Amino acid sequence: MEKVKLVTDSTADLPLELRQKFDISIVPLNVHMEKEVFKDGVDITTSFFYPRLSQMAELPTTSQPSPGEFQEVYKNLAQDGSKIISVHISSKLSGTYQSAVLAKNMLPDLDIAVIDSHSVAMGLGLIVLNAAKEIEKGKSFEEVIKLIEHLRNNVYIFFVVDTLEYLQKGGRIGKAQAMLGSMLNIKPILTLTEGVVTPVEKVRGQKKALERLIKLTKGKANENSQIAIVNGGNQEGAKRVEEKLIAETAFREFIFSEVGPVVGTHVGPGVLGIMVLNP
Amino acid sequence: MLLGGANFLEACKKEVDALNVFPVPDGDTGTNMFLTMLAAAKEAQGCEDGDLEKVANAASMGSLMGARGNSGVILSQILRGVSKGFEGMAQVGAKDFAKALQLGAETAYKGVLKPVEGTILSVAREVGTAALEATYGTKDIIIILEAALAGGEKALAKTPELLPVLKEVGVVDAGGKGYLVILEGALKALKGEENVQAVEENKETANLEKPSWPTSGEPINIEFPYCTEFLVKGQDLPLTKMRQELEVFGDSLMVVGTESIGKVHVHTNHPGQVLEYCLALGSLHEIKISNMIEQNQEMQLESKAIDEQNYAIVAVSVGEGLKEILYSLGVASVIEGGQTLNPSTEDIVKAINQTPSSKVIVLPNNKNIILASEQAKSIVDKEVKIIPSKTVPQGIAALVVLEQTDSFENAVIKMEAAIEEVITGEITFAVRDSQFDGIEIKQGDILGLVDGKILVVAENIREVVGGLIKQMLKHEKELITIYYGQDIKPTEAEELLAELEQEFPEIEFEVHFGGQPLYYYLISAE
Repeated sequence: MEKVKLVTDSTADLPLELRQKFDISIVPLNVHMEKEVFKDGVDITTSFFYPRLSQMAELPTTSQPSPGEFQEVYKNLAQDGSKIISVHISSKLSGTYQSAVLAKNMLPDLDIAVIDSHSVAMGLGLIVLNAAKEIEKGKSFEEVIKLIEHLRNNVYIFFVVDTLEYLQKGGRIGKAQAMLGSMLNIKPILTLTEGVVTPVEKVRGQKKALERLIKLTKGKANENSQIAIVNGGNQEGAKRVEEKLIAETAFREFIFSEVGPVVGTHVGPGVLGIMVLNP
Repeated sequence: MLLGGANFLEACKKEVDALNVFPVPDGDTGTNMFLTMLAAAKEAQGCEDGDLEKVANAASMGSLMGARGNSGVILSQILRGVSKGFEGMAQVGAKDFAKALQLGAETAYKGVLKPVEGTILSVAREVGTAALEATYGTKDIIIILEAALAGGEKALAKTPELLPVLKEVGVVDAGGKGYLVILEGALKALKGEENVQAVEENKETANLEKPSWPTSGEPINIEFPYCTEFLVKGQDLPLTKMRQELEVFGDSLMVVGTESIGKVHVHTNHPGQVLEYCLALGSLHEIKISNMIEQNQEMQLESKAIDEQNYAIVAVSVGEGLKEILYSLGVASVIEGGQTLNPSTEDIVKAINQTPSSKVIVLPNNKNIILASEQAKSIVDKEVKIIPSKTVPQGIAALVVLEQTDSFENAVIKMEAAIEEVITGEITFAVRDSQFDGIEIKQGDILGLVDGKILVVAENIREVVGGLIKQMLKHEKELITIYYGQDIKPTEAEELLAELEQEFPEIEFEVHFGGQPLYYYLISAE
């Protein structure tokens, strides 16, 4: 049987148990905060990060892992003859995918497939988890690649941020967009379209925002959907999302995760999101 | 005759205002109609020729641009019809005069989408009919006008029968009365009863600019870059001579006033010379000189930023805070609603033309401004859509739903839907004693309105706010936004917020500075 190993990056927000259970390797991105560099998920955790985020004088910045780091991981994993599937955060959001491709090109003798998930956070996480389950079932290298390529077209992400400030400062949306409605506590609801952050609509008030999130989710979900509820320093909000989903849909099982510092820097504290994967 | 009408209306303005059914401090019919007539009279005055057709035309155009409020717009339609009736005539005889009055009424009816009986329209119609009937018996214009007036009075007396709300309050229609007052004044002038003076400036109208014809949206003519405006105080000011002599200094000249105070406005290359000239006549005050090239450049830069969209939005509002909020939501140009002064058609036309886009969306944010907006739309060269917002909170809701990626058509659909979702509450004071739906109102009482209907009356603001919010919450809303006006201190507003959060723990509250006059609080529930 073919040996296939999975690699992803720290933005997939996969909890430790699941990583260990499915033997998924993580290459961490870097968080540059107050003149220090932290490895995302290794040297810095969400519980340390979020309370500080809004207080920091200068916004942290993030950077992708170097090709060298990918090379090391690939070489290690391939020692026992395994083939490698490396799935990553949307190339429109980070240079991580590029680094991985460069690393693969430096190792022409190894079987490595580098795939752009067009997604992030648990959107990426769900794709990786499904791939891992298929590998466990004994599916081949080619089959899993095909599956991932299929899944990435069937992942939907809807999230609401407290303010567009972080997205704008991080360069993910334009300034004009960010300024609109800044006086009125407007809650923007966003999604990812072809790997890019795009606005869905703007609403006023937390309650309306939650309502819309649920509505958008219902619009994309079917009975087989896997649903993840994510938050950034907003456990309370995540609970309310769960309550509403239970009240208004047939879904009962959700994966909970906290958005890691890399994405957190770009969306700001308070972010709430729902990710839907239709297998 | 026109001047007679305008002057008499000014004198009776308060009487007409008092007929306004609604005891809220808003753009009053009397004031609006007077200002519309003033604009008409000014234009007519400017006509050098005594030719009737020309004078009538000038008056019609003047009222068109100067129209304020719904009553003003309808009046301008009447004038338009009347001036059409005078087409091709240098003077007019009795029969044609009567026909013109009739035509005035017809044109007004045509100008309104949903004509309502029991308003100025009915009165105008009866005036026309009575005038025509009278021509069978006489050729004397004075007698015909008297008959027309009598017919109008009868129609006016009937208006409470046609509009139940008038009956309830016990008044006749304000717009109708205003029209009759104008005719009465004209009659007096015809009879030589009153000394017809040139229309005077008073402090209310001091800020009105002479209507200028809309250009095709080109930026202002920068040939004369210094916009110069000031008051001259002296004795026996020769306004006409000033007008003639200052003409050479530039364009857009306006000289108005009395023998002792004149207001001068001109675009010129030599502001110094203009000032020097007037210095010889008296002392100069409130001098304002601005460099329009600079202003225009700044505007171009700003509008380039906004103009990434293919359409622009123009909105009406009153209040510094509300203005800022509207700008922060992407409005290209905010038209000042003015203190009890609805903006004129011209104000709206200017704002539409100032934006660089060829497609414009207008948010009147007041039901008394919707007609003037429609009139502005018919004048400008651009594609204009009017979202029928009746309050500022409705306008804000319409703006919130917009995304930059929305097309013009999509934006309109979204905005029209959004204004239906908001309930607007207003807290203000009663300007006169009144009675509504069985509730007694005394002047000075605090009133709480929901979407234009008076629902709560009490003697203190806090009580009305609480009662009003309870009423608004009957509609299953979750977010209440409160905009406090210029008469409320920020600490008061914050205290109110704290109390409301306690009283209604299930509801999300937001408080913002609105700065609007006369309305202590504007409240929106979504």
